[in-house]
Amino acid sequence: MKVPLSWLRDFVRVTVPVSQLERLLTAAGLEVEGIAETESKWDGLVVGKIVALGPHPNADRLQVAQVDVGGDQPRTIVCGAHNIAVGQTVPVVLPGGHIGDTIIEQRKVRGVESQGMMCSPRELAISDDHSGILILEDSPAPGSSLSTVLGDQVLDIYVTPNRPDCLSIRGIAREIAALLAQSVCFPTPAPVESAEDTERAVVVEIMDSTLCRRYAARLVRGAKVGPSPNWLRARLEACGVRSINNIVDVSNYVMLEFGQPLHIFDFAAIHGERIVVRPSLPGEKITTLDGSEHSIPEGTLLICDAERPVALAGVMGGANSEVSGSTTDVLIESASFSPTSIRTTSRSLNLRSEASLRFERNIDPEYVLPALDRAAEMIAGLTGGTVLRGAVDVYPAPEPLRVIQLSLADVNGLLGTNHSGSHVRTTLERLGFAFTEETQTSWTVLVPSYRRDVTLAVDLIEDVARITGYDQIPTTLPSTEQPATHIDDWFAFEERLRTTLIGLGLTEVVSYALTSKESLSRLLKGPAVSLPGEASDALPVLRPTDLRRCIEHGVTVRNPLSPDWSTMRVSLLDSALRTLAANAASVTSRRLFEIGRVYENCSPQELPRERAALVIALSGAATEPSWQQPAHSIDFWDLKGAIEGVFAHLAVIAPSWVPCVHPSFHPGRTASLTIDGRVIGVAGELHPRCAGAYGLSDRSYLAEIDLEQLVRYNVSRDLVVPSRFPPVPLDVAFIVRDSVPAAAVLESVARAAGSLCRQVRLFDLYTGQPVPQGHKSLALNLVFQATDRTLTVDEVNSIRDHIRDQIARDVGAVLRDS
Amino acid sequence: MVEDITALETTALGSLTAAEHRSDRQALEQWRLTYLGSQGQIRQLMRCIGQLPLEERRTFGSAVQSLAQRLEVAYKASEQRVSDRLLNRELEAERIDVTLPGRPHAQGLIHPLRQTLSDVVRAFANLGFQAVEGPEVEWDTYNFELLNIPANHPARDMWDTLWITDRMLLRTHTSPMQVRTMRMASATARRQGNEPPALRIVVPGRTYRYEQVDATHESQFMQLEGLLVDHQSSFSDLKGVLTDVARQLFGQARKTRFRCDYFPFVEPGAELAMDCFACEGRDPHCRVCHGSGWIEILGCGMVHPKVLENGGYDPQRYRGFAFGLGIERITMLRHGIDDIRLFYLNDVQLWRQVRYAPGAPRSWNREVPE
Ligand SMILES: [Zn+2]
Repeated sequence: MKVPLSWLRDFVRVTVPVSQLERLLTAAGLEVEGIAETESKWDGLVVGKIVALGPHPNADRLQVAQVDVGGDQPRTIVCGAHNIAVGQTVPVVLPGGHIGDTIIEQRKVRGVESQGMMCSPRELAISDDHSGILILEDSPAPGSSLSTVLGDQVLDIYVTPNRPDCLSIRGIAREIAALLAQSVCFPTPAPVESAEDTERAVVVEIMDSTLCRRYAARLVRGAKVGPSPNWLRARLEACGVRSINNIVDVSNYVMLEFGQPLHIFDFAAIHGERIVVRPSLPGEKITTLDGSEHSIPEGTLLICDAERPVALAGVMGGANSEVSGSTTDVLIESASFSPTSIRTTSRSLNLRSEASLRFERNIDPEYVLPALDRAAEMIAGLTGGTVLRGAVDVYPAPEPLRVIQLSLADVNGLLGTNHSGSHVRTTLERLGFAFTEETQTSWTVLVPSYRRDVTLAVDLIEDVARITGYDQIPTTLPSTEQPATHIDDWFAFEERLRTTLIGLGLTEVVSYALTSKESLSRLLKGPAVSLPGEASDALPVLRPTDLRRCIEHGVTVRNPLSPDWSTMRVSLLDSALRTLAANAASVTSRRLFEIGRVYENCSPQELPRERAALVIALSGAATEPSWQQPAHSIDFWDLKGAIEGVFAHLAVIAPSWVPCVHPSFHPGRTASLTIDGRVIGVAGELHPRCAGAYGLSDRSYLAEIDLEQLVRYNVSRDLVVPSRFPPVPLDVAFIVRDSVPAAAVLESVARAAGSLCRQVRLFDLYTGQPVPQGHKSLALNLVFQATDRTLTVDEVNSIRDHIRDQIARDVGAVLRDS
Repeated sequence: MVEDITALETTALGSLTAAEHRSDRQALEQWRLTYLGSQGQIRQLMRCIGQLPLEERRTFGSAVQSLAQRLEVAYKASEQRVSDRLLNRELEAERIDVTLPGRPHAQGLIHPLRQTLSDVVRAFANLGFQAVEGPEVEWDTYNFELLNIPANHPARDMWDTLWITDRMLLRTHTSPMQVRTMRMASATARRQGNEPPALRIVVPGRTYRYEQVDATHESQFMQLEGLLVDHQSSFSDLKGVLTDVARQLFGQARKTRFRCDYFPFVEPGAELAMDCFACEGRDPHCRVCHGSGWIEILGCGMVHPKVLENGGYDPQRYRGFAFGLGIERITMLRHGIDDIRLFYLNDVQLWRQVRYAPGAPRSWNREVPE
């Protein structure tokens, strides 16, 4: 809302500099987003101080003033106005200067040389006032430029949706008055009326009073449509409204002043001298003022004459009844419509107007008549037309004023303040609230009709707080006992996991949760078979045979900003692969992870499942290449090592790595991670077809792990104090068939080694001579240690023999001679 | 005989100096055996004592003893110097160019948004607020209706929405968790015959808007919601809690300013600004505050009675406050980033520049005044 300071001054004395006004308004909830200086249209005009004043020797109605305009000598100026006095400061045009398009010359007026001219507000295009010379307040220095004194400033105020009353100059003036402890002065419009009765000239009928609460109209006959005067054009332009003609301009002017939208019809186009306000019927059409034709949705509120729609109520007028150059009689509409109905109409037809903006915020029906009267008064004044007597005013169910009980304890309790009762009362009264009943500490407050937003005591309390200033409220800490709290287990878990992952040298990324089905479908390149293990409740990516359906039936946005952001991700692999690709050129060693949610659609009656997952994505060099070590490429073992590192820090059972096939992964280099037979993740080398689809040229290694299932597999977090007795190392090597997985050998050894074995570590894997064809040699480093004694060589040797026998039975391995 | 001793000393010291000069450890050892060894020349002189007249034996004996000591001392000094010289030569041969770069270690990093989120959560945890999370795909009911934003309310224009169905949407703010948390707490309390408990929660999480993306607007972003409910909280407590957190995050000297603002689920509503930590209001061209001296950081207010009621808390007996802040905005302020889109581009090169300031020097006094 653009608010010229000069217009505000019609209603309220602005006693502070504009910078302070800006601060006050912003603090009170009317954010001043900018202050524009209007163009200096007063070039060459100066401030003059009247130092002497006397009658004109030859003309009774003129006066001769001596005016100090800052030079050596006062100027003699002949003047017809009588509101001036010695000592006052006034605007002066010196010879050669101009007012509008008129050049002012030095000339004799009835025999007295006049060296300039004093100006009225209308001559300065400040307002409509031409009753006398504009008297400048605060005695500015004579000779100073008028632009610096009077230069108009336009406040650009953001009005929040709860304050439709502030979409008007009067509303803002009322707020300023309360903030400055002033009072407002709103003149009551009083159009001069002819003898002809409006009610005889036009009939108004409301068919649905829930959609139209009030409809009032006046008629002006004999209006002469023409351009608006300068002051009116200047004000509208300052408010960002283009001047059209004197009639349309009045409707805009009154809307800006009161916040009440008006519509003006060419009365000659209103068939049957009849206005019918009704919901539309099927198939109706209208061409609006902007020239576009609309098929009207059924039930839209229309303004019709006896035969046809002439306006979309509250949104825009029809072209068929528009005021034109030949219009003489006009019908002024001032009405109150249902906010919901206006909002629906303007949304469904995609038509927004200054009128619909105000109506949909629920403006005050009590402004209908004052605004109507003001418009009639102005149109008569500007066009020479005659206003008919009275207004037609159909108002089936006037709203009673709202009444709110307020207590001082409520005010001070909610705010934490110590305001006095009289402070609360005065503050609210300045905003127009009335007090009907009063005790020492409580009141019955009558809410003025324009404050649509005030329905509860808290609304009144906010008014007290914001007009007094939030800075007047103390700053304290809550005095109540702190509720028993702890950081949410899940939040803390994620934090720790994150710390572990960065300790493993991985960099965290945060990606968009929205992606597209097309992008996700790039994960489906290899054969879709079930992963080994129980996966019915697992993440979508762990259910390969169901993954395509999960993508197709993903959570999909109906009104996406772009096709790339239309579906919620069902797997973190997609965004991780895009991030790998984005960093491929610039970062040699790409070691990334993300902890985020994946989304899986359920029935339309249920919210989708949102589950936390971890993705690890590695590609490129295992470490940054350096002058003293050649870079080796990241491989599967880097990925597995990272995952083992994560589980080393988690108090859960370590997962088993089961070879598997997955549509996104290399069929020979992928494992399903299972705990207790249940699938909790998948890890492996990316399928080359997926790599191609994401534009990745290096081999990439990824894992997606279901974090929320891990909680089922908690193990003890107690620490075990290391033994003080010496550890006994034992290196053993086994020859076993190639097809036997290393894990089977390690497990068998660990089981056979028993509780005295502290470590089983594979340190060599060898094939070739002298190991027989189709076999491999696994060399293990075992460490034995007892907590209560030093182990003897015999004890360790007997364990070794037991391992030899056990592993031969379990996996057919043969202990090599050492 | 005494002449023999003098001659022996001269010869011995001469050959020792020669061996030391050559840094020849073997020659030194040979020298030691020649003069000081069990078959050495000193021993031989000692053996001659018996051939001397009785009265000369004493004098001669002590002269040989003293020679032996001098040679021993000279030998040890020489040996030390040679071994020092040899070691230094070895160490010199091992010299490296310490200006060469170190061996790189893989360094992981927390994403700046997550770092901010956890710092903010910790700041509120210090004041007793518990972190909880909620669904991102929400019902219209929780996102709007129960927050006092009915259908067709013009305030809905404040949140352009991404819709899933007529009733389901991507939450436009973390505020739905206000009612969810209150309902959960009040229902549980009612079942147990208790009155609803006081609450202090923060809700970190992702939010979504139908908003064209530019340098200052994201359509997918993160928020942190906060809610306190009890019997006697007040706006002054709201000011205290948020001022405390602003100071924890941006320095103890921060000042805060609250101005009236409108959000349908709070009344009175406010917007919080803090004084500019970059220029403290002194730079009219400040990149952070654009010369205003103030930085707007969050919206807040006293929980609207209807929202309390929707959460199962009697607004006659309970009060509370709520706030919501944008994690991206805070992070942009912390790292001097002026394009919000960078957070989701995940340019690892950018994140690798993230630095955190070392702590201020500890300031305890070693001498505490009496
Ligand atoms: Zn600054």
